[in-house]
Amino acid sequence: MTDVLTEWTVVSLAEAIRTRRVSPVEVTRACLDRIARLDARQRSFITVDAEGALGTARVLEREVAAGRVRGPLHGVPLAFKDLCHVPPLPTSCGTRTREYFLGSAPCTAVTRLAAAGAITLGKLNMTELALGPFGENPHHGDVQNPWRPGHVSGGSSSGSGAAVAAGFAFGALGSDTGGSIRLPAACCGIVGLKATYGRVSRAGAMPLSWSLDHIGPLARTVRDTAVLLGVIAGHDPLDATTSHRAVPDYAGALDAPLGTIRVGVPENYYFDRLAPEASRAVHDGLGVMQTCGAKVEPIHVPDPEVMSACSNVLARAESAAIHVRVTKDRPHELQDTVRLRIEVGYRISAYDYLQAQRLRARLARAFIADVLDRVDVLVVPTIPEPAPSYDAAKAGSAEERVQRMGGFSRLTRPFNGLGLPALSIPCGFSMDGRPLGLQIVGRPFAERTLLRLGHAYEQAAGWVARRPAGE
Amino acid sequence: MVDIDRTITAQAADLAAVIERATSDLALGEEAGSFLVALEEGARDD
Repeated sequence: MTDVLTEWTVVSLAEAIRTRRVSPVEVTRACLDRIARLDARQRSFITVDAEGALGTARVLEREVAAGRVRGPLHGVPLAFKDLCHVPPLPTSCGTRTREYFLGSAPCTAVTRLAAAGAITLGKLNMTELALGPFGENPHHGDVQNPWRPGHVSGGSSSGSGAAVAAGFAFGALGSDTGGSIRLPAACCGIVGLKATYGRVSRAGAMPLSWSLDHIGPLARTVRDTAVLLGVIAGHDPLDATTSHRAVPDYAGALDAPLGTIRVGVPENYYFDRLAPEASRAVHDGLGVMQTCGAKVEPIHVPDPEVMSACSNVLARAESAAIHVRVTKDRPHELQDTVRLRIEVGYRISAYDYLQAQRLRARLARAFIADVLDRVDVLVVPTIPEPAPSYDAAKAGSAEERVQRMGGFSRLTRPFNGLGLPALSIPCGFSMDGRPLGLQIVGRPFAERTLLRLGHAYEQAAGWVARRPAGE
Repeated sequence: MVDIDRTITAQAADLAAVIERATSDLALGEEAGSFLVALEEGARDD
């Protein structure tokens, strides 16, 4: 059964369950056993719901025996970042308060996955209030990188990245306000997708910044990511920002011929101050994409620092408003870096906040016209260096650590402000075996293009076959 | 604590300065709520 957990995918497992070669109860038990055996060290989970998961698995097993299949995830064990409201489980949001977030309705994305047949294994560790790109958590334990314990898993969806990479769950949900899906995906050697703003409902998930938050999938393969996106995408009356656009068949489009695709590689910003091996891995990846039919060309992109400042104004002001009770009444409960970042929000004027909102729309229009009218996608690195050690990530004063956090997420953050879809996919390893990742970024609602190129690259590059040493 | 307070004030001031510079020529018609429209208008057949 260990082979099932580490080698199988959402798609292959769902097929095996549909054809009754694997039982949902058997695979759920195997996941729970593996979590019990290994997660005390790795700290991917905050809550494991063994009883609930096995109960659901038994129901699904009876259904499949009777010839009924709920959807493309029937019997597939998944896990969810601990900011998704999944009653009756508590939602700590990475804080020390067991039930920090009580959503008025269950998380829409989780509800849709369950309706498609997914089994909830539990709730995943995360950085406190989803603030932080590394994966440290003083209340629930620092999430260890499955490839290199002692090193960061990436954050803030730290448990989501680590649990999928370690074979505890076949897929996960994370949230992404400045890179929090893509950073752990890259650090842990898996795939993570932040879709277009408005493509996936955020209802029932703790907000950090209404303007920048995204919910999205993390999985081992692009095909699994496409299947999960296909289930969770689409309009939701509970989230007014969701688009009414039809949801295409993301997974079904992966096997169509790629054709010629224009790939832009930024001449400015995105390759500055990178670790040499991070830069080399992305350029090697571009070479592989060319063999898949991509036409690669250099392109100048608008200065991301302006959008970064714009995003920071929105994120700081909104997070200060959202988390005012804990920051004002119980500030001692929060990490100093979390407090420092939120406190900035109380010094931002309504004038600056509104100007940032107006500026954001202009910058998005300009970026689409200047860049995405010339090329189909951009390819850039996800992380500027392989996952650093926790010792390195935690060194220095609060101000120094906040600055370091900004440096680690500087390649992902601009696409939250722009609202554009960005897929992070493994593109190799450092000399000492830590994963590296690249992002494919496209036009609004062009997730299918990103997934098609990502899938073609994944198949040609072969990194997807590698697994961490595990036990 | 004084240092932290100074850092917070300085960060807010830096952000405000960037926003002020970048928004000096915003037109009256550029609304705060037009971001979602920009995304919908920017989409093409995928």
